[in-house]
Amino acid sequence: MIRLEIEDFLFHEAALLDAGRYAEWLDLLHEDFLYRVPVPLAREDPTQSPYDDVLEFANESKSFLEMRFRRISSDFAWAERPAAMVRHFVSNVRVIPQDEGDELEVHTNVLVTRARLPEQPVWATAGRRDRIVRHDGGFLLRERVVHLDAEVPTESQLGVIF
Amino acid sequence: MTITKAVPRSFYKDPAVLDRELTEIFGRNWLYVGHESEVPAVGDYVTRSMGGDPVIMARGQEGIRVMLNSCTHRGTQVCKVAHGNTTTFRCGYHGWVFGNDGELRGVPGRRALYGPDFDLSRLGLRQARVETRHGLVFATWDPDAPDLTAFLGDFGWYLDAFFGLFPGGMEVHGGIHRVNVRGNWKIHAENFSGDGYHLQVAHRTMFELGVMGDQAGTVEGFVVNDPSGHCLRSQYLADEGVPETVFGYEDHLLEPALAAADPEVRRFREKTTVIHGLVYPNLLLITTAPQYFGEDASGPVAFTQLRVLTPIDQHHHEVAYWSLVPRDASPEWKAKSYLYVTRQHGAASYFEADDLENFRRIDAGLGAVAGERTPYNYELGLDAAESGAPPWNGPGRITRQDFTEANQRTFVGRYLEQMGERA
Repeated sequence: MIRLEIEDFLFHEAALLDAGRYAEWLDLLHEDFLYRVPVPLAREDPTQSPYDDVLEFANESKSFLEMRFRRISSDFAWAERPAAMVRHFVSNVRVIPQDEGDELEVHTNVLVTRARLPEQPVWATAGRRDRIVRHDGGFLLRERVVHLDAEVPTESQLGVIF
Repeated sequence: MTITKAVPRSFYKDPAVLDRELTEIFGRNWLYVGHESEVPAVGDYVTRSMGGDPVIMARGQEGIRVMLNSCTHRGTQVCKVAHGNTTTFRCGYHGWVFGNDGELRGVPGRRALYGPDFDLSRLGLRQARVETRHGLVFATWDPDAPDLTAFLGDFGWYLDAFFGLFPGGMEVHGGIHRVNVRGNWKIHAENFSGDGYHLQVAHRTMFELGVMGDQAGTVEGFVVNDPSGHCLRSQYLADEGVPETVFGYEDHLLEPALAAADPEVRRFREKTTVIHGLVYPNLLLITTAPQYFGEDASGPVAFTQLRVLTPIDQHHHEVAYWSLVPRDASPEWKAKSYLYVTRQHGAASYFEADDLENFRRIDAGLGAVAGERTPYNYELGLDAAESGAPPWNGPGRITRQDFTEANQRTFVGRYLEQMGERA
């Protein structure tokens, strides 16, 4: 059953992020991977998407994410010292059938907690729209769009990869 | 200039001080509210804050107005969303209706309940004074404030050099995004006013990752300030003969703009690699042309960012971010400039994270009794020359010295003066 396979992949991917095993996480990304967090805005018209077409909290390619992780290993990445404890709770996994190709669209809900001890943890919720492709008997993430549930998040909420 | 008194630490944590700031600082100065390009058509509006006051910036038939987002009956917010287009704002409590110019247009049951002589004209939404410069919309609640040109003083020349370079003007790309950060707003303001000293420590990883590329020639910094609190810091190429700064704009825009520019403005812009500053009290600006943010963002592309700081409480503030692009730039270039600013200076960027982390740690280190006895130190560069010979002639008090807190002292001095405390 495809959903179980996808869940295994997503739980593994989340576990790598939570454990700070970034090199292994990068190996799960397609070369053209793009990570986007569009800005949600309250709208007058309830039929309009609340996610802005232009504004983004984040737009990160695989090579930019490599820079992000190279930075984390530096002693001068102040916002990462002490390192945060991060936990992903991934649920409501839905695999959306596609007409053609071997690409899957996968919708999930996530709750992500982040604690920089000794401070109390903060959390954020979001919907994710992933595009996932089959590769070498497994999967690769091709795109992740994060639909955050906060219009004015805190910098702590924005300090994670969802 | 010497400073005999720093801001007491209580000014970063006393709620009574914040109340006074909202009156004396945010209630009296000109505050940047938004850009004309955010409301291009009649009926367009955005909602914003002026210190503690929620406002609507709307374009009516007679131009742009800034008005209090609060019904004149019981004070309910009349507009709840970030932006839109409307002819009227209807209060959801008792149904009072205001035009997009703020005039009170209708009151349910008016004649029967309030009588025939009830005068709607005195109950429009409260209006702020509005003036614009290069499309930047400023507003103030103070009827006695000097006009915007007088308020900006010597800084007006720099705003012109910043936003008036391209004949077609600049526009906001997309709109604003906002983030809620820990730390008193004044720490963020003075950082942007001219802290060249923190770069090699706080932002060391940015240089290590090659974001700024290899800079040819000797780079020096200078700061400029105006007694009314406005500040600017810039890095420039000190060597004559090295290639001009990489601007990161499209040639078809840049060449005619430079050819038409005032020679001193041209020299100022050509020589500088990064410019950032503070329009007192809470508008921050920066322009630079970073070189590398990954394989899909390689090569110099300029960005211009504006930020407004709004206190939430004494320990938190909201930052609103605007990205400005030349109106006549290509759509592809505009998208790339926005990508660069998002990766370097967006709320979720990891370079921004280092500044926000320091603001957070300052808040965590405020302390109480012993903290209050340990004022912050503002002595850096006190002995530096107050004027030198920068590679252009511009107004303001110029210090040709990067490692100086002349701007922070200017900000603090003006702030204390407005708060009724002698610096």
